[in-house]
Amino acid sequence: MTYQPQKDFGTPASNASDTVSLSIDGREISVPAGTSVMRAAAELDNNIPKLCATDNVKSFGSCRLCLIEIEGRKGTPASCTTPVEDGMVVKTQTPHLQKLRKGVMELYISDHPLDCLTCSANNDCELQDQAANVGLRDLRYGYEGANHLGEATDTSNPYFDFDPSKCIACSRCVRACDEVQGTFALTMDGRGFASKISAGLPTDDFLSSECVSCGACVEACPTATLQEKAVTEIGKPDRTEITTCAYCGVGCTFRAEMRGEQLVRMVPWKDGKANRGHSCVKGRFAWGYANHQDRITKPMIRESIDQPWREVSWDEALGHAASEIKRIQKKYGRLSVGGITSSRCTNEETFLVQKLVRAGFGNNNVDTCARVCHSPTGYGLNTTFGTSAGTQDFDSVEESDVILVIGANPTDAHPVFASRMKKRLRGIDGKPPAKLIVIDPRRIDLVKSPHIEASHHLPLQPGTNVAVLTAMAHVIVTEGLADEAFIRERCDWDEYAEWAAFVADDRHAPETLEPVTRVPSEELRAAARLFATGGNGAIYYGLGVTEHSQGSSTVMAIANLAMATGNIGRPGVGVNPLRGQNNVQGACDMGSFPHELSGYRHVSDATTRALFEDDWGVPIDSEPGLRIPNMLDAAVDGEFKALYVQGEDILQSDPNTKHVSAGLAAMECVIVHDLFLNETANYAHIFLPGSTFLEKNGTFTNAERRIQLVNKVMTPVNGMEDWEVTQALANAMGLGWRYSHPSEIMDEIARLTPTFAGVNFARLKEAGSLQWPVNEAAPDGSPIMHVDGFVRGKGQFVVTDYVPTDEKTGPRFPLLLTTGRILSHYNVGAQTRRTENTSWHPEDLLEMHPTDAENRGLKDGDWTRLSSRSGETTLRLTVTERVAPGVVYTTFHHPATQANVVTTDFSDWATNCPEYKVTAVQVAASNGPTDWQEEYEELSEQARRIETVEAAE
Amino acid sequence: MNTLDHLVYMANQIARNFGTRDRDAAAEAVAGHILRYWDPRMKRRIIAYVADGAGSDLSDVAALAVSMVAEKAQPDHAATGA
Ligand code: SF4
Ligand code: SF4
Ligand code: SF4
Ligand code: FES
Repeated sequence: MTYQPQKDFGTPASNASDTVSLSIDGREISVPAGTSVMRAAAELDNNIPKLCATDNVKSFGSCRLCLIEIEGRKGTPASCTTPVEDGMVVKTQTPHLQKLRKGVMELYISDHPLDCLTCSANNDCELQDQAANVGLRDLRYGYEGANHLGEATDTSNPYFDFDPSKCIACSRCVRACDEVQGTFALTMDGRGFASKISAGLPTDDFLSSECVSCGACVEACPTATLQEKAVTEIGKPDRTEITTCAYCGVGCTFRAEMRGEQLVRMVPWKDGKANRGHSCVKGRFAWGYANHQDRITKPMIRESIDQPWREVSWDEALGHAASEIKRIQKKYGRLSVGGITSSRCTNEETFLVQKLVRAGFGNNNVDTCARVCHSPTGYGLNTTFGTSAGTQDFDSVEESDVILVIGANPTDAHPVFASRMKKRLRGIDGKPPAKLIVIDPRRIDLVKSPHIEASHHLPLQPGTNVAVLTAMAHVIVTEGLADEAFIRERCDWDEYAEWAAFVADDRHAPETLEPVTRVPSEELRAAARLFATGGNGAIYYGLGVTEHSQGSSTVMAIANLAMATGNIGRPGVGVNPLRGQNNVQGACDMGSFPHELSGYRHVSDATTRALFEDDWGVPIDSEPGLRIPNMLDAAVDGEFKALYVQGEDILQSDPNTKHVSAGLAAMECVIVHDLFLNETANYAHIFLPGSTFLEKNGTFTNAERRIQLVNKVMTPVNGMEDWEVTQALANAMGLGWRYSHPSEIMDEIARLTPTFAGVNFARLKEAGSLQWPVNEAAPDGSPIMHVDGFVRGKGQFVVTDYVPTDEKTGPRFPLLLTTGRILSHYNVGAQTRRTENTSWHPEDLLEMHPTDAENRGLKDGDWTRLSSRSGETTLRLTVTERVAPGVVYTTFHHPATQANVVTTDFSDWATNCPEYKVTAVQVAASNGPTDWQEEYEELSEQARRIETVEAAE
Repeated sequence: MNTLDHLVYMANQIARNFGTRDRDAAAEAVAGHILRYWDPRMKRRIIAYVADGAGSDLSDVAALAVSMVAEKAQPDHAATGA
């Protein structure tokens, strides 16, 4: 089929439940009340000419092209702003209407360049289409009058251009930026003919403006005014394929629009239930890394890490890997090898890596990068509710009345969900806005942004989450605000009573804890009261909760708070972890942790083991395996010798870089399976080239437990999808696997995992997506969990005592460093650094409060030395009041900074999730890179050498 | 931190997080946690550390927990790491 953009119904769907019937051009139709006549007609495939309406934003009624006649009414109302009424009789095409429309079009066209044939939007331009639709044939006004032709194009944004001479002032871009994205970056200046779109101040171009490059305006623009550079360069796409973004845990779905094997653009899919037609700069634009010159496409090996890499055949690389693993197990024992699965790879790929370890290596030494982000979520929510996952779908936020955001920065880390949350916080469609509580050491953007202001921001001291949440619980219990009816029905009353007595103790009063948390007690009390009494209360949290020495306790404290206020089990409430990487949820579900098989079943459970043993025909070890930090410890001790790492860069992402590199250096065989020679590969002996999400089939599971298909749109440049590489490695070890498509792996997962029992590729395709559990009790999946009761039976209140971290400030290290991420980059930045996203974030910066900077004689832009008990690095300073005095903040997207040289190896007590969010540091002026940075730079250069071989043949 | 120090630190840290429970209940919770999440070699090392009489850096509750682990750990695995 030739290329078609996704159908545009002109105005958003109405979600009213009552329907209205009317007649349009003699045809009857019933639609939900509140639907526009334009949309009702579009449902009948009667596409009324339009320019200023599009179904992502509310109608505006400015172009006057969509006029209709209604029996018994005077005039010609605009169909986009006229709601349907029962018994309405509508005419969309009459000689009178035709004449009016032609007149409107004439005006538009006379002020528009007529270079259609060479325009980048040729054949994909609504102005062109409408001129054809209304039968425009000549222009009475000629082309000589005043016009906007010849204005300069703004090319500052790396992904799209703005050519004002083609603008028809329909304001679709302004409304998309306001309503969909919520950034309010664009304005329409002037009126009538003088109307002009601009990005903020008259002097601003797109790059320097508030614009976050989400692309919503580009998509909304009916002309070539806002146009993707890729379309200008490559041309119009000719086919499309639906797939899922591989960046963050929001899990936006896209139409990948292709020309042959070349990707032209990614357009968010309006039917995607996670993103509802929106996206962020990463998913829409930052896919250029797939063809980056750094991409390694051939397998390579070397004897030791001081040698250059040597390109070899797949057979040689896999044969070598298999024989090394066997040799090492023979020499050092069965437990001396292991593997790491990736939260960036598909469920099927992750499942195979853990199967390779459990069935092929014969031990449980498998872990995943979720260890360093959300392992406490698994522990905490499993203990309290009985499921290691969030309780809601994203749609739920539309019904929240109070939103509590703790340790998360959604506008940067989960941008599309943030846009949906902001929509609710602005109170669109007559509903009063939801109230917002932010608990974060930094004044994140959400605290105050256009048309949004948090009711309470509690800027706590990093590391005191449990104390703050316990103080909130104290207020709720002692002021009698707990929802006792809910608790009696859904939880164990005795456990509640014990917990309530604990939190009610005076030592947990906000006033008593104020010196520790530094949160003004009155503000904290007000926030607690609001959460308990403000209606539907929903809690969203991120890595600022989990990456602490009490990460698991904080997750349980959050769960306690939700249960105590009755905020579980219906739309609008719940506990929602915002997952970092795209498939963190999936990687955890697939049995990537060393103590559990898929579906969170402990390896010591004989019944579960028997299920796998029967299916796989091998015994499964009943003892838990090593977690990543324990693997590294064991490696330093000389007991752990070989590691297969799929799609993960533990050297850059894991804390205490020096400890990680010592562990890796002590191993005899490190196999890295990735797109690029990442930092971990500096210590690798075998490199297996990986494939991108564009080159593979499979599924990802997002933060809502939503399983979505990933569809291959181009051939893998390395020759194999990642699951095929793992299978080839398994077969080199003699395991005899015979999967011919990832759907067969999913069938195996479904067969062995009760919560996935009803999942298969055919059903996913048909339904678009499914939220697990999908089984007999919930054949269509489970958007909301714990509806009639908790999965574990009764919800469990867990006493969470505040235990201060051992990472303490003192005279040598008086500041607390906390780390985070920013919008344009993703995790260790391996992909985004290889795209134009570097336009926004060329380096990691250190944020510091003006007082602290002044005390140290530092100013904005200075090079500074950041040191902790673990190590030191240098980076440039930004002076800002976003951070409180005593706190500094940075990101870890760039390897040259190596922010993790500074972080320590303290970790969560229950899961060993590293304490990234609290490190005691000192900051001083610096004049250049540290010794470590220089040495590391040199090592990297050495380690990345690839031997150039004469071309054979 | 070397591996043994790290194990001792972890055991103490787990014990501190069950600090609101009485001694026996806390030790039981810590032992349960170690049995569930530590690999056989880690268990073996901490058990040996206590058995050697060198267990002095462990808190009272953590030490009691390790002795409970020693009783419950599967002897074949814990002893040989095989
Ligand atoms: S790209 Fe997004 S943020 Fe930027 S102007 Fe367009 S809609 Fe607004
Ligand atoms: S830039 Fe495009 S969307 Fe915005 S007003 Fe002009 S034509 Fe309309
Ligand atoms: S990075 Fe996240 S928010 Fe952005 S498009 Fe991808 S899934 Fe959506
Ligand atoms: S589309 Fe209805 S007025 Fe423009």
